[in-house]
Amino acid sequence: LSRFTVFHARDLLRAAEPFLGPPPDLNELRDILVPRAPEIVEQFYATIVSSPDAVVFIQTPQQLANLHRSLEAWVQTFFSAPALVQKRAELALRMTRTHLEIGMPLELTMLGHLRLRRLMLRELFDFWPSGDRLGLGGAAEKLNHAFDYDLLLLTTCYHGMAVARLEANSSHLNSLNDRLAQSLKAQESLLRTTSHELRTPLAGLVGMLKLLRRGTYQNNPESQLSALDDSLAAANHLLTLTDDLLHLARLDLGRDRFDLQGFDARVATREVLRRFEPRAIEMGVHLHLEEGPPLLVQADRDRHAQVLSNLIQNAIRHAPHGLIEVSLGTTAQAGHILTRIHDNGEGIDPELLPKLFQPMTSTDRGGSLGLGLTICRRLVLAMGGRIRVHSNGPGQGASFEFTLPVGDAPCLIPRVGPTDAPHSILVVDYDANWSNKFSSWLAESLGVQIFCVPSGLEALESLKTHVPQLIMAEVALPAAHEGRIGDGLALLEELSHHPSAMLLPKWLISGHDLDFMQDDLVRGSHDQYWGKDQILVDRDRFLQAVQKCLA
Amino acid sequence: MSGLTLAYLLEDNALIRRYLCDLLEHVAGYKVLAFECPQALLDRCREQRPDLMLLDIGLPNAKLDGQPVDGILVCKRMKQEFGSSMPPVVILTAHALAGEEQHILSESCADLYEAKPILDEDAFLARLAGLLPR
Repeated sequence: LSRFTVFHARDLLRAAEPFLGPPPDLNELRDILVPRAPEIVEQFYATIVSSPDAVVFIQTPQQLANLHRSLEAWVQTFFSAPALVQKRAELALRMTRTHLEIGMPLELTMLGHLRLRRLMLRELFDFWPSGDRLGLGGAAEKLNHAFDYDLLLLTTCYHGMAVARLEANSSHLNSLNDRLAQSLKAQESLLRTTSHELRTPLAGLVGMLKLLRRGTYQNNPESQLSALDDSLAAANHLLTLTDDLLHLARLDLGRDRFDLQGFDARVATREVLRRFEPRAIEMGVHLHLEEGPPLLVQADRDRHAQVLSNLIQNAIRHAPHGLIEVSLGTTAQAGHILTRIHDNGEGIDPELLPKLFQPMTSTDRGGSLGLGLTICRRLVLAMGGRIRVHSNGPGQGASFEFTLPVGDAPCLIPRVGPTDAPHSILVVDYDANWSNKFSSWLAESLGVQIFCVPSGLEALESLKTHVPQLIMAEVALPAAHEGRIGDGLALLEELSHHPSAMLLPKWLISGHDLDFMQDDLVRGSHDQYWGKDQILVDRDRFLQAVQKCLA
Repeated sequence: MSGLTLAYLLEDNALIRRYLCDLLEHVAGYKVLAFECPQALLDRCREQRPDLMLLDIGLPNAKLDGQPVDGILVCKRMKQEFGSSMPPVVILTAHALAGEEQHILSESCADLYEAKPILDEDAFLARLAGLLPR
């Protein structure tokens, strides 16, 4: 019976048949006992209500009504013809299910059953025709047999259902247990590999130190230097490894906070690539970023840089003297920005591809630990993106692609600082992240009021209502409508003829490398030029310059 | 025996390779050829048998005839091929576990089992010297 999660009366009867024998026939008792049913039910209530164990289950009028209904139904089926035995089985199932649902223990059901039997037997003795004393024994035996039959049905139901429930629970527990075992196994193998990866370089390091200590290289300063260099490299490797492991553990624990914000992925990518240029030149690698329009992503800026750095670093390592192309674009799946890092280097063994983002899978000989890609994957997933790799095999190069959600542009705070400030500055910059921070810093440091606009046209608009004492414009501004005021240079050029701004000091600010437009910078109509990096590095000097200009 | 003792070393970690090389060359005065991959070691062995071989057990990325191998398998394989001309072999492990020694020695047909890191270099070198024909 326990094999069935949903019981049918015929299953129950089939299961109980060997023990039940033929269904009882209470035909001759029916006329005497059915009219007594209301009296019997009444007395049964009285018993239940006086039992502290049972009364728990009939506290509400609804529960009382249910009990009443089920007792009436029980009496009806109890005295039904033997051919209707299936009805008894159905009722037994229904009662059992209800009792299990309300959490009533089997003992109570059995006690209730026993109580009903006694009540019924007493009624039989009291109301059996006095002239037929001989028939009473047989009648009582029949009644007892009917109760035994009913009780057996009930307990079979109970047992079957309880077992089925246990099995359902245990199969759930088993699957949980399997998953736990798998996860433990993965942890264990990670621990084993990790301890190997940590011990091996340490063993080498200790060995080298002992050789140095015993003066092995005494007569060979060159060997001694290279022994120290090798040891230092191993120590540095261990340091990176430990950092990566700790980082991964932090990510596992969900301890890391992600500062998600909207920023231009292209600008961020360019910044990262610039950091790798010296390394690329050293390795003879050509690092190329495909140009294109700004693409706003929603991500943690530092983590984005970390993922990109790791992928670029890998590409440089595996494509010496090769070409690395970085491109950005929108994905087919709407709402995501895709970054692709393609190299024409060593390529990846197809066997390794599916394991590449798992910890400790390394394509390097000599076992570098390879937690970098695992960390990348965790970071990208945590920021709502995906990462994948493609390679046609050894010698065929490799492409890593990761996506990040499209960002909401942060709102530019249009006005910062005290309204009664003696001086005001107009800042024209479409990068709200920078602009918001920059303006608050300026306002706070100098007690001035800052007006912020994202484009040249809006700068002109703003000048109609308020004329500041200084204008600072970013070189890279979104192309304006009708071909007017394409960038910061053009804006300042136009402002040099503007009636209310022609005499104002105009500064050019830029976050980009401007080597290629040196000539424009020399000829431009600005009074000062500041790089954003320069401002960040030399804050005091910048503030002094602003102060001097306002005075 | 004429000339220097020639030892071959198979070890995948660059620093340990260097350490063992320098120990054997500078301290013990052997001539050492170090290998990162088993195939190169096997090819070299076919050309010239060394007086002594040191094999690392754990070689996660190593393959021989396209099959992943560890130091134990490499040792077995060479014993099969070289038979009685097989030089004495020291098997090295970073996963030193009590009770593993006998198992690994019989499994690999190696002559000596050494755990990394090597605690006492002089004792280690003395054990190596004991393997060499007098």
